[in-house]
Amino acid sequence: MFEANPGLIIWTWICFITLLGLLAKFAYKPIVAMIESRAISIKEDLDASERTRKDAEELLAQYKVQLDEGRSEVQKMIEEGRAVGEKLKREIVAKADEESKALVKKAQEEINREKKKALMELQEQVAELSVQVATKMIAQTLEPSDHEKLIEGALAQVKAEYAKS
Amino acid sequence: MAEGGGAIDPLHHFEIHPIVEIHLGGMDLSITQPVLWMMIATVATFGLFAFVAATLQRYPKGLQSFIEMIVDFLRKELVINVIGEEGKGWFPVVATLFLFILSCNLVGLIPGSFTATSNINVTAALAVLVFLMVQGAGIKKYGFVGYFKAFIPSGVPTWILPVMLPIEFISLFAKPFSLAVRLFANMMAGHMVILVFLSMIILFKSVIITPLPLIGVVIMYAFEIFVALIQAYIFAVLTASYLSDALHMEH
Repeated sequence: MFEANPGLIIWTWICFITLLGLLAKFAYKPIVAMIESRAISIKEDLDASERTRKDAEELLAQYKVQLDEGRSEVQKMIEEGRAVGEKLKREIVAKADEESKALVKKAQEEINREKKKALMELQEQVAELSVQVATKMIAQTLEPSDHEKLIEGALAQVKAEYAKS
Repeated sequence: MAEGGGAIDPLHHFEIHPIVEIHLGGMDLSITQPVLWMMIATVATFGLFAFVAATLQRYPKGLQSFIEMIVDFLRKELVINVIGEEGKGWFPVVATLFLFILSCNLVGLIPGSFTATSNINVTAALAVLVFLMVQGAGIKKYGFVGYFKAFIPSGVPTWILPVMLPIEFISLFAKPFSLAVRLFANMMAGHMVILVFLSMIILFKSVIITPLPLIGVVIMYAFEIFVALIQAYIFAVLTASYLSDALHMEH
């Protein structure tokens, strides 16, 4: 146990160095390569997913901006439409108002004209009748009673005429 | 122990007998029990690792993830963390030291086997190897003169050198010596305790007393598995730290 045994020492070296050589060549190299390549691929996957996430976030932000823009555009369009409608309404109302006023004015003018015409016609008739009455009075030598009758007859005629018009 | 008689001498277990006698140029290279069990440990370890390496899967499971865990642990915790990035090249040596010692320790726990690491020649051989590698690593990095110059820190007064140099010199050799003795003593002592417990059964020849040493044997066996692991780890981690010291002489 304690005695030196050179043979055993040499065998230990042989065993150890053999194992070292074999393991280094056939075991450590492929196993370490596998661990490292896996670590690299995990890192790449993580990086890629990080990139994808960033892209997605950017896209989302973009869409949000677009959505906001669209929304404000729609709002603007609605307001514009409302303004146009309001203006149109006011125009239509104003036009209608104007037209109705013009119509009323025209009607009044018509009435006035007709009234004037009627008055003028009346005057003419009155004049004519007066002439006729005068003619009649002159044509007949008249008694005072006849005179009265004639006048009354003429007045009645005028009255009737006037009432007719 | 001598008065116990040959039949129950626990030390008897540690005696070495040749199994296959080989003599080369006056050197006794016989295959003894420790050599045989070292070979078995070597073949078993290589077989396990070669099998895993040959059937590597991108998505590991079972045995592969276990082996990968060990390799990754040795590489990161024992080599890169202790020595640094430049120590990557030393990973095979440190890892093989760990695996070789661990497999020798574990194989030695099989009843009827022989624990090679309980023989001082085996642990000394490994320690000498570590010593040579550490000095080699230092000389390779700093050059022969530069490496040994670094043992004398700059700014130390000359009169203190006669004291310091022997201390440095002793500590240089104490490191591998402690490596060898620590592993050997731990492995031998554990087996010795088990053997002593077993001897007690024979010694007392009593049905009443027998269960007590038997319980002791079971507990010691469990403890021995732990010791097998921890001693292999200590040997490897100290090797890594000696390498680190040799590669970082600047301080």
